[in-house]
Amino acid sequence: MLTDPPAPDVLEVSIFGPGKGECVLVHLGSNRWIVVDSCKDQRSRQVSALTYLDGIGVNPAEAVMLVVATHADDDHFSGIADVFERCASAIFVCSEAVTKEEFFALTKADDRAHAGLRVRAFSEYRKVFDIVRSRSSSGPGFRPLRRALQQRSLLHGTPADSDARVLALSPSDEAVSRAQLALASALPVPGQPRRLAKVNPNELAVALWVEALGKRILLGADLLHGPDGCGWIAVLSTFTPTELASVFKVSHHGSITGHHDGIWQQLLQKSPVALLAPFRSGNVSLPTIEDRSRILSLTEEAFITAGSRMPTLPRAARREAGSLGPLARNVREPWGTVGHVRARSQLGGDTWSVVYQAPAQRLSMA
Amino acid sequence: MTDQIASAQTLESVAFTANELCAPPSTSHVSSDPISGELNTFARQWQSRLVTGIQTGSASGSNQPDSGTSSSTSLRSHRKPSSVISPRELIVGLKKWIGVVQGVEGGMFTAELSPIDHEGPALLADFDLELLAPDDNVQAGDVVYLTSRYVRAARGYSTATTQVRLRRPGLWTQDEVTEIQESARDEAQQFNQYVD
Repeated sequence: MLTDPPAPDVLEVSIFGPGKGECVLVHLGSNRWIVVDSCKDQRSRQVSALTYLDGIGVNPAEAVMLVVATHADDDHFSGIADVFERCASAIFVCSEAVTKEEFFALTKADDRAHAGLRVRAFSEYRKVFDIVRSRSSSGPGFRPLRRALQQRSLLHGTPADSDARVLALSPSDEAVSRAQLALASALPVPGQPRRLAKVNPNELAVALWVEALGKRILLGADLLHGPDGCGWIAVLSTFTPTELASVFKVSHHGSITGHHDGIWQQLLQKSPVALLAPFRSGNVSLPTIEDRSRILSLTEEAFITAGSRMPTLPRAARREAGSLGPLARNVREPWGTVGHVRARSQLGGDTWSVVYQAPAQRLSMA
Repeated sequence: MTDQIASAQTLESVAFTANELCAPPSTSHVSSDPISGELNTFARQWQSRLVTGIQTGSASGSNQPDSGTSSSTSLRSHRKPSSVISPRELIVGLKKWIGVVQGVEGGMFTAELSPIDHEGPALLADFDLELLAPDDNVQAGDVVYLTSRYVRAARGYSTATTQVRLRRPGLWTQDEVTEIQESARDEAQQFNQYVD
């Protein structure tokens, strides 16, 4: 495990994944951090962001300014309620769309669809909402929730506000409207079977632009290419940075659906440091070989927290898989061990120093 | 946790004779000997626990409607144990998982399985749609149960029976939907005061 903390004048971007989820930590300087999404190691049950901060001697309760949930998909928010719980002075940032009535209704339906069972789709969000409610009642004037919307500044009112800038690049108004429609389409209907809502509109994803210590970072979340008025199309039509970013958290696990040439032409320096985490839970693992080829054609400095291939089942999982019997086919544990890639750059320096911890690796065609 | 499907049962109550075991339904699969070494180990563990009578099921405590599971259940847990239990033909192990359906594609559905009566890792697995009843119409967000039973048969041979069932928690009612919508509206308004 990487245990050396960054110096006050060092900018850091760390990415963890996959475990269940994906998580980015940014050190803005002077022991001020933001946490973007969360991942939890399914074997150790540890929340990666907290394990790392504890390991480098950072107290999350004091040092974390923002906890950002980019969108409501469990490959991004596993353990985020634990993160927010520990980050006692942090503001929770979520997409404008998840503070709408439709999302609250989905979380309530989620509680009732299979009442009495532990299965939930949005339990992390319910826990976060409970924490928000309890913190609001603990002190007058403290508002622990902030909505992310295109062009909205997110750090104001925090100790880091004077030194750094965190800007939401998405969602656009159009994207919020579309996300609301998508969420509404998953609401319970009288006479229809109860089931957990499996809706995760990437339209509501929050991409971030971070400026600190003289450098810029683009965190792409799972933002998609479009459609018109949404995604990267909307970002590129409304945002023109004065200087380009040198680090990019590649959007949507490197998928072509999250790619837009304009990202690399208008927002990023030439050959930036590209960071990504794979997605292995679906029928298609990301990034695909075509995705790898495309990313490597755009930068040689690309790193991934783990391989795209399904990890080998550990002994306990093999034993469990054997117990499932022959009806269960293609038994797999896609989450695997959480990898960590860390990029650091000192104030005034032009370069990034990247280290990684297995199973993280340089992105390759293998 | 509360599990409506698994009614209270002790290991003694699942110690049926082989004659009580129904013929395997379409959703079940019986694998014959030789079973794997791991399965033998597991069976031995359960056999030893059988002696101590550790409770393996949990009592139903939910008031939520539940119209049951697929009709192909092969072994009903409320069945009375036989008064004559053959020591050589016993269910020596029972393991259950709950699975949330992640997606349906190509005649298969994928479920994320978590153990509900033992410790173990979550796993993803694919299942043939034909294992469920034709009218189940399984979709992402549905919940299934997987049960494996291990039976020690005569002459020391063992068999394992696995079964997949769809949980049917009933239908949404108009009252519930209205209540959800109204409370969601209230909560969204309430959260406005927490937003900076």
